[in-house]
Amino acid sequence: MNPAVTNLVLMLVAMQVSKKLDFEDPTTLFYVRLAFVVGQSLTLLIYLFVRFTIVKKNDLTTLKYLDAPNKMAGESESKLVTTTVKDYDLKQIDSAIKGVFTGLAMTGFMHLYMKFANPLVMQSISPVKGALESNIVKIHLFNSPAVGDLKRPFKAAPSILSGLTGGDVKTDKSSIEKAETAGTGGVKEE
Amino acid sequence: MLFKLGAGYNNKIATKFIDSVVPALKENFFQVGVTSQQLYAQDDGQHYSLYASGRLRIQSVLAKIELQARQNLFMWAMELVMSFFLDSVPPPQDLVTIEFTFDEEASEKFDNFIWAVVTKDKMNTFRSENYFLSLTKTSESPKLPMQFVFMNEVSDMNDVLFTKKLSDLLQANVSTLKFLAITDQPVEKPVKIAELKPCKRLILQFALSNSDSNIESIKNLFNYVLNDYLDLIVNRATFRPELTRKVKKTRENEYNKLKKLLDDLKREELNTKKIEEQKKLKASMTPEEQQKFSKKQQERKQRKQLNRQKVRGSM
Repeated sequence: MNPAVTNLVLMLVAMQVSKKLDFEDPTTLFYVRLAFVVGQSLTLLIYLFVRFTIVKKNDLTTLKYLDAPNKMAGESESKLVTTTVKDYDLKQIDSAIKGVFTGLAMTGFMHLYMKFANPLVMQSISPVKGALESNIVKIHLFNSPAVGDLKRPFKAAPSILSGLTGGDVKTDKSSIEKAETAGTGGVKEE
Repeated sequence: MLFKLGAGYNNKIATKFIDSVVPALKENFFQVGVTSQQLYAQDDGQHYSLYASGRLRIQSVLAKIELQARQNLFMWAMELVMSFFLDSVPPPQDLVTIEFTFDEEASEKFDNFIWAVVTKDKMNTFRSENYFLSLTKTSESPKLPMQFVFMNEVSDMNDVLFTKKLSDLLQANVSTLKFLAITDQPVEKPVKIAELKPCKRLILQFALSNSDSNIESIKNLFNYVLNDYLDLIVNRATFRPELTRKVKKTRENEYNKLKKLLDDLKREELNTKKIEEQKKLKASMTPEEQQKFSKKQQERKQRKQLNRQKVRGSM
């Protein structure tokens, strides 16, 4: 099923559940917090395990693609990225791990400072779900072959923001060849 | 206290490398060391440089050592953490970059080209940090150890430039060599026409460490390059015209691109100057004169437009 749809369903369910829960009750609060901590640790564990397998596999196949220009940073031309499968995977997994910490900080702020307990319910399930649905985990944890949607470089999931951040990655041969010898490197920094 | 420890460790790494390569340099070069008394220069706790000159075919060798900021523990820790969270901050590394510059006589003997063997690990950063590498094509090859790729302008050049001995040494330097490059183009992207002029050199970059075996394999590759490889390039690197055509084309393209950029800049500058001058002129005039002046300008504009239409009509 489409992850976006299941996410929506999950959010609605979590909202209903957190309405029913009495967060004033210390025992409930304790279990909710426990669930949150377990969920976050599980996510982190999955990612770290996948990171470990990536390093162990050490797949050094060369990978070339054109990264979409970041329009918010004022870039107009797409940039060529020459990398290896291992480096690409590591970049993906590192950004996922960063995401876990960002989520942790956000929810921590909401709960500890603003005293909201509702996000804890949602945040104890959705990161795990997100991790298990991510391309990189599918490849390395479930050993799915890297074809179709799982072919590197991964396509960005369509969203409203994609118009702002620029198009998709390009992998066709002619545009790569054109960009490869464009002499864009070594720009002196001020 | 911590400063001393970090600086001492850095010093140890640097001198270990320097000691390992100096004997070969002394055999090859008339002058080794930054001055006649001093062997190497230390800028601060993490930057060292070594210089030698006076050898047949080679104008000079410059080795720049850049170590992690261990002498400043706080900075070092900051860099380490930042590099994980920000892509723009590179993780701290111990590096040495050795640049052999060919003298004019030797340069004339072989063709202009860019040819490099680069480690696959983080290879995109090498391409974005070095202008000359961003003019090349990346290709894998069964000749190379799995950890390296060729970045070159014409792949047929591999047959001439890649030797059996080099391949063995690369295998031994899998964990240390960052890249080996022969180039006539600069590291930094040229901003003036003069900077496009070919200046041939061979650049080696290694990751340094305190391990004896690593230093040993670096030394072996360094000695091979110094004793045999540099001369091999000068003697053999002349290619068929079919191969160099592409190389020349790249240079021309880059020249045209830069020229266009510079011309555009100049034009823009002239335009702003003109507008400013007109403004000044206007400000110094009486109201009636101002009116006259703007009328004149308008007429001129109209005439220009008319002319343009005429030209288009005749086409």
